[in-house]
Amino acid sequence: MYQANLFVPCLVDLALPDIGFATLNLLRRLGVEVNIPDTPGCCGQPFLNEGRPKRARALARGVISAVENGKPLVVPSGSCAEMIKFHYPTLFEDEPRMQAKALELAQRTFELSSFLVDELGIEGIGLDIQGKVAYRPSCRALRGLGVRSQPLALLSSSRGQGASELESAEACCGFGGAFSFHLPEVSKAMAHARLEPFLQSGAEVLVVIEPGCMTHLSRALGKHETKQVRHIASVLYEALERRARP
Amino acid sequence: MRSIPFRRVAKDALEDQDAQRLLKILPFAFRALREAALSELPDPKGALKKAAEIRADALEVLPELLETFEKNAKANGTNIHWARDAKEARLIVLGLLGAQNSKTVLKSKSMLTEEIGLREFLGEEGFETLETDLGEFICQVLGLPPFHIVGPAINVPVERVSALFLDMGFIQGPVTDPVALGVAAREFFRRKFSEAKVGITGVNFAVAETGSILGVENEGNIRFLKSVPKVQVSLMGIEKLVPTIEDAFYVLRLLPPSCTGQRMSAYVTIDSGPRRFGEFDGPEELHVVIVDNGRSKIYEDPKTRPALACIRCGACLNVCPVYAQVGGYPYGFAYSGPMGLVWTPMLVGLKAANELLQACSLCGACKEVCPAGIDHPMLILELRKKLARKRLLSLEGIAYGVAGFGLSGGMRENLGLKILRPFYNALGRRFGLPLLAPRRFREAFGAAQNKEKMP
Ligand code: SF4
Repeated sequence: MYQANLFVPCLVDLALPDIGFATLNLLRRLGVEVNIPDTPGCCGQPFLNEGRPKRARALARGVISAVENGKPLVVPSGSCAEMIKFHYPTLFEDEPRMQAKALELAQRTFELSSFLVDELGIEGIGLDIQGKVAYRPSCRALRGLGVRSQPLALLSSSRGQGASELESAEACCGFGGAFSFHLPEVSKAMAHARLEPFLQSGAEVLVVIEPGCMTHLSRALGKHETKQVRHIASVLYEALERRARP
Repeated sequence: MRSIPFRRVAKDALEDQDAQRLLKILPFAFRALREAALSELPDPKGALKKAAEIRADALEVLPELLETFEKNAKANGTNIHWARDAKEARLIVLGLLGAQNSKTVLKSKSMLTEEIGLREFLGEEGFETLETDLGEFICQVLGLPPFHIVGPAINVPVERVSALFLDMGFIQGPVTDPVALGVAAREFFRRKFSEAKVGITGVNFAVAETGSILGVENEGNIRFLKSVPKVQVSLMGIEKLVPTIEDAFYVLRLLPPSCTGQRMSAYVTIDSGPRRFGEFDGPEELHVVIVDNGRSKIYEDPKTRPALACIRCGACLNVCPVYAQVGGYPYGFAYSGPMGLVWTPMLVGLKAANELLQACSLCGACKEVCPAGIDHPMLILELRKKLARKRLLSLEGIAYGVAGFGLSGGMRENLGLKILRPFYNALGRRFGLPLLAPRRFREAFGAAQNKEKMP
């Protein structure tokens, strides 16, 4: 059986546990034996972002030593995956031994959708995803990891209603962690600007691969009759469930 | 300098209908033009990479390049002046003007003169400095800061410009054709050009090998400033150097596409010394003022050095999602957008730029388009790190300390979290932060697993 580690980002752990369970169950349903390692509760990204690399380094150390089993590390967040893959090695520039470990971990760290497509080779599995879906990339995963086509491939359905990318999908939704706290008005305006093409489109679900974007855009969208913003793990897991019990 | 109130000015910008209308179009238009212009190059990605390499290599040997430049420029008959900071630079220019007994000075668009507050200073000293760049001129008359580093007055509606020009007697009736307005202003400047004794310009590139300075423009005013007045004063930051004229041309070829989406700007002027015997135009005296103003400090730290590669093209502004929402005013200084975030804190001081440094969600769009290869997010992280060190005892510092401690624990639901949750959620509701779930994933998962294990 294929084995993998699942890293649960702090936002998912503390605020969005459903996404954690959706990821876990999705992986299990796809035949992956999932191990949840005893890592610290956060990859350290918020601390690095705010100019506190020392704290980020301490957390990184904890994550690295908790997943030394050589199995892939799957992360249901584009930015946390990018943090582990790209920033961990730079955090240990002065510690060659730790850096080597960080680089080794980077090799086997995957953002969820890229794990499913690039590693498990799942592609166009023909999920019957209800409602038309649109997709928005994660800034960090898009530019740092080149994750763009994988979620689209996973979301393409057997009934021919594939996911589409919206206009200006590449522009940041305005979450940016503490950014949304420091400049709430600007952050909100960004979210509304990004939602506009979604509201004008026929799509009913806006799928993201970033828990942060999900909370931020959902809040900006508010209660909407037909439209919602969802994390890819939830969407895929539900679609699989539906297929299993028609 | 007092702290830049980014948030407050940004809020105003979000309410400003004119600015919002423009921002819905401007960045996208610039981006589309840029992409179209770059796509005409045989290998756009490769070209951008090469330009970035030229800039990076030049910075590596900057001290030598500066020396070579000085030597060769002097050999051409150019006067070189070194200014350690803004004040010295302003005084040097003042001294040069004083020798000319003329109270009117014409100036072309230059971000550096904006940075050192030259126009305001000369005004206080009794000189009338006239901006010859149409956009700068409008900013000057209306008393506005630059909205965009490339188009400083691009946010001013054409009707307002028309009313202004009508007032000033440039035009006889309302005109809404921007080109006609430009022509009207040009008529006015042409008359002024013939009277001016001194022309002040900026510099886009300085070439060490030949001791030359290059200027890029579209309106033709720089060309006038470099040919008619008796004295030419050109100001440049120490970072403008490249080794050879080929290097300058290579990077130049990417500047207009990145900047305005043009294949090439309408004019490129190269000065290698003052007017020589037998030449018809050009200044009798050419002065180049080389300004440091904090740059050697940026240079000393290898982590911040790459910022100096910037060629002020403005491409990063046009892809920045924060700039696209608020425009240039909240940045509170000559520079805006991602390049402003990187430069301003190092010029005005980290503490004054505290709010400004938060004006980035680290999306990385800027880094992708920069012809100088600048990694803005990395630089911003570096500057935030330097700032955090200065603010260890701030409320934020403490909050991060507590959060870091709480998150470093492993799977267990800890008592701290149980106590903190309601407080945090009360705060979170108020500030619109993601709220904490009643039970964290790790705990719920742990409980579920224990159940599975039980017989
Ligand atoms: S940082 Fe790069 S993209 Fe931005 S203005 Fe400077 S050279 Fe242009």
